[in-house]
Amino acid sequence: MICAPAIAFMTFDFVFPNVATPSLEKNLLVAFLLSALFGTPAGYFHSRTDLAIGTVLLYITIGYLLALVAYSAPFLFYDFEAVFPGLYVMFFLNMTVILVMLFVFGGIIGVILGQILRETFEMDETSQTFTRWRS
Amino acid sequence: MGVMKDFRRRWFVAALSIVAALFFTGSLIFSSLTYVSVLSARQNVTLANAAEHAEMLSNGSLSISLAIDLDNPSREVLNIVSISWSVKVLNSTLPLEYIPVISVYTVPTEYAEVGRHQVKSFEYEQCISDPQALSRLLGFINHSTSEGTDYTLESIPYIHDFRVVAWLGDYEHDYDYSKELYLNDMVKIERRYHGGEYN
Repeated sequence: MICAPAIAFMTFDFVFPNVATPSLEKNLLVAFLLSALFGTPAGYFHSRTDLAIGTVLLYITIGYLLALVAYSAPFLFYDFEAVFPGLYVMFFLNMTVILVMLFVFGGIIGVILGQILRETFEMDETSQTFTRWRS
Repeated sequence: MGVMKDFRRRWFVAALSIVAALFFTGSLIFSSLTYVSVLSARQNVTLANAAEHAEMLSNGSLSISLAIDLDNPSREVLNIVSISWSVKVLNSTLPLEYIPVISVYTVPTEYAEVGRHQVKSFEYEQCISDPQALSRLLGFINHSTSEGTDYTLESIPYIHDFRVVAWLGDYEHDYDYSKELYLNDMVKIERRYHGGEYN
């Protein structure tokens, strides 16, 4: 769940790159690489792949909802007029649909990377333990 | 519990993840507050206190002036990109036509900046000595007199049209792609004073 704020920020930044700090400037490649990076802990901390992918889908959903809250903040928490009256939620969904697909794809790639990393570390730990036991 | 145990065991990766999460949470909150600030400026920047004046000078010219304030109560700096002021008179013979009197358009450079929580006053004055322009106004006066309304050059109901366009702060606004034009609109302030009404 610690990856949800990153997803939220990247989604918000994708809609408003000129007011977001720091901005990815709508760079889909960077968004994909970052989503893979943020999928890594899910694979790293979960040995079960289905659980790890479930976690990815969950944090992407939570992050996306957080981004929607940030996008609606002026109307939810302050008394401002809507910039895009009428279809402002649809506008957000339209703008970010490809990005969400990238997040899911990147997250799954991240899960695989995380599991490879975990197995590598475990093999290394096991070999070190045996080396210590033998000596 | 297994995850928490893993967190303690693999504390370095866990700490890196938490630091990244904190960084992005901070960025999200900061960006949202910036967004709120921009929308606040869009809503609260106003034109106010317009004072119109027309006066006959001793040399026979007509002096028309407008003083107006641009009030910026927001936390954003306004960088003014264009100001236009025009004065016209509604032609009573053709209801949709106007008699042009004055038209001024300026593209300010570095001096035209309205700071945070500041009010900037604009004062424009122009003298009309062109016989053709004055004869159009006199024609309007004569026509109005024939219809039972007496005007002088000073009391004609001049319609002042003042427009100001400004960018908010230093936010990027050079987007050309059609799907991104809303980003330009978001950080653009356009205010108008027309015929006694503020828009």
